[in-house]
Amino acid sequence: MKINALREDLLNAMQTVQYSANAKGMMPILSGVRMEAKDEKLILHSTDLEAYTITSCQGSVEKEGECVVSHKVLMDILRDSRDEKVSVEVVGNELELRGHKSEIKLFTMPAEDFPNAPVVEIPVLGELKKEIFIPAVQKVSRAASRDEKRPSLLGILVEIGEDGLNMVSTDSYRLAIHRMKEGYEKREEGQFIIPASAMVNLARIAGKSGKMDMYRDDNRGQVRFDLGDSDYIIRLIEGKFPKYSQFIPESLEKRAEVGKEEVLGALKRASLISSTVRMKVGQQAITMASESKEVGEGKEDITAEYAGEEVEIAFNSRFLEDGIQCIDGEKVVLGITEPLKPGVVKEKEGEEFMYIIMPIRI
Amino acid sequence: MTQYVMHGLLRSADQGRTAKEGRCVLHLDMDAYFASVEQRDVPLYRGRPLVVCHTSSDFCSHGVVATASYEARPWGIKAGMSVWEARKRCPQACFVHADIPKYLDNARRILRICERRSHRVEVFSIDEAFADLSANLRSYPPGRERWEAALETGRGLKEDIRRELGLTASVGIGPNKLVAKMASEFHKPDGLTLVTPEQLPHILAPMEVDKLVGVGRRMRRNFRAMGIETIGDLARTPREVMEWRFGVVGRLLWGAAWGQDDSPVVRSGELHEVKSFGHSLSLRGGTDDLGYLENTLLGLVDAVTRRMRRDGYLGRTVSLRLRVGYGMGYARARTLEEYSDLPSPIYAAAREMLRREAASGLWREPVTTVGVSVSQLRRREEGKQVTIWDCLDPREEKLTAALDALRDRYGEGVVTRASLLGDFSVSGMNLAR
Repeated sequence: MKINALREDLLNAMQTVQYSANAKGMMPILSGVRMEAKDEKLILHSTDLEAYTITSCQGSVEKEGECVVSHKVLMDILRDSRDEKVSVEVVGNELELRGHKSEIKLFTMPAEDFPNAPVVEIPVLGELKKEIFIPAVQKVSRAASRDEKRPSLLGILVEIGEDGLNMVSTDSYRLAIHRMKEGYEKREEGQFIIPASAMVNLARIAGKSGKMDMYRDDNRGQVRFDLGDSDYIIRLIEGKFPKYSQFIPESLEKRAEVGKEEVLGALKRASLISSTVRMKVGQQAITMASESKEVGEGKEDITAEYAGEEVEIAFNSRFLEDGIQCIDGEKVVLGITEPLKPGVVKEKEGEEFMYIIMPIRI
Repeated sequence: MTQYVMHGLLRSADQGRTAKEGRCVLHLDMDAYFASVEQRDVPLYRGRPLVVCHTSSDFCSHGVVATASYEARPWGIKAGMSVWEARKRCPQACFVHADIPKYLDNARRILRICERRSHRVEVFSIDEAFADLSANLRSYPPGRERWEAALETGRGLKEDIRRELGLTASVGIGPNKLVAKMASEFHKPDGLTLVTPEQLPHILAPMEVDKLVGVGRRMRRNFRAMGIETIGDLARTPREVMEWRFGVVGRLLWGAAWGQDDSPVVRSGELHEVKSFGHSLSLRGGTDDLGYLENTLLGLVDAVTRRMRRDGYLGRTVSLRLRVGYGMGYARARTLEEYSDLPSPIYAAAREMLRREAASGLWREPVTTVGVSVSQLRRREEGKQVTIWDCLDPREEKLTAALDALRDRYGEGVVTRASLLGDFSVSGMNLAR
């Protein structure tokens, strides 16, 4: 194998595959990146057995072939190098990386040990707009659980049904849902629980604009996102996702409108004293109070537009902060009904995103 | 009552600041505390053997001895012994229920009295406290005069407690907490003992090694295997050997044998901080019927969670205690995902542990004691995070609230689970105490 390429192109490709390389795992081969020179391209593969990334970079192939080298070492070398062009050649057991004045030899691992990319070819979604999908993933993933005890909550439920594409996540204290009505073409209906961490990585490598496609495999064990120049294959989480529809209120009768920055600031200050913040929602203002036996107590008023009777409710400040940070725009709508009923955070305009947060019983 | 928590006394951290010369620490230990309080309040009990019991039964038929009065001690009745055994040894003794709120109230008063004499008072248990007198006695020159002054303080303290509360206490004074605590044990009851650093080696060396705080039955066996019988033997053993054999504990014990203890007297705020809620039941003759055990466990969980709700606590760690045959008891614990005070999550965790133990095949004999306790507590006022699962099914929450209201009004026995109806020992459990 021998190929000449621009260092920057190669580095970009290495960075794309970095999220599924597994440096600390039990299998040393997974810490490597498989490089395959073919058809005037260098194709890179990496996997941690949960996700599999394939991407390619342009180059002039002098000799076709393949090899596996340590992903981290090669990426660090490329990142630190000042060369504009590099040539990559496999000589015996070593990969020779030649720059303008430098020559580095890296030991390779047997390419036949590297897992093959799974076949995931049944179309589910097409023409998915990244401008809509990627921000939605970033918002929804915040509410996903990190607790391994309930595996199905580690994922984002992607539900493709008649009325749209819903993405839902919950860690049993809050629930985020994003409904997409447009920006995609449905090829098939179905439900997939995709690990939230992999979805976050997908958002990192997908880029901001353009289109992507989603495929599944025969037994609904994996999905593949075709990002154009790269592919990201994710192993799905098996299990049942809670029936989320019953948490979503039909309508928001009592809604308070507050300034996003103002409420975030007040929340942050309240959380310095205690993680539980009590909110007294009144006609003109919301009073945010927190107290702790060890630290002290504090309260802060924020202006709010609210038409309804006064209500007092408590939330975990971090959960509320997470929800408010998901909101675009200057105004946030808080829907609060009763002290023990879930609260709702949503945007002033638009019904796509909703963040439901369970209260703290005081 | 006098369970020695090793880390409380021999704390390895925080040396330096307090470890300097010239500390003077006082240890106050109430004599047969629960029994003395009862004898003070009820003239009938005075001068007779009195046994204060921790028990869930109305007639003190099972449970354990909390305190035995000095009159009962010649029969060999000690705290921790089963009530049944105590009855056998001394049938003529009076057996009474422990009235913990009353003892707590008295303990608070004792604490106030101690605080008049020192600003640094550490509550060590319900009937024990440490006071750091160093600051108070700074005006006296170090040495004999200062120790005399400390003795005077101790005498005054005892006198105040006797005059105001009608109780006697033993006081030990020493250069640190460890020595003070050992000193207070020397002359009981109503003792006042000073151990100065100079006297220390002569007093400690000939003592049996298990008199040292932190040395129990098992440690004593280990020591005996090494040829260590007295504290002096331990002190003469090279420190490296102890460290190599027992690690950090070894180093601390070696220091303790030399009368070294750097742990500071830490002023404690609340006297009685609840750490866990638990109930256990001894099963006469034992059983290996899993269904019966599970039912008993359910009754215990009901009782524990009822008390937690009444006192306003949520808990997260569930421990299952079992005693198989008449050997040592053991415990298994599991931490729940959520803080709870409802029976079902706590019962589910306890039952799963019980089933796992039953399936382990380690039960060669019938189970004689089963107990459950909930720890890692937080106050209910601090809030309980509601989860979506609660929202899905709020029925249990509502049901327990309704049951609690019923019991508050008509008594504990007014409503019970159908599965517990046949079992008197559990359903008749008196929770009022």
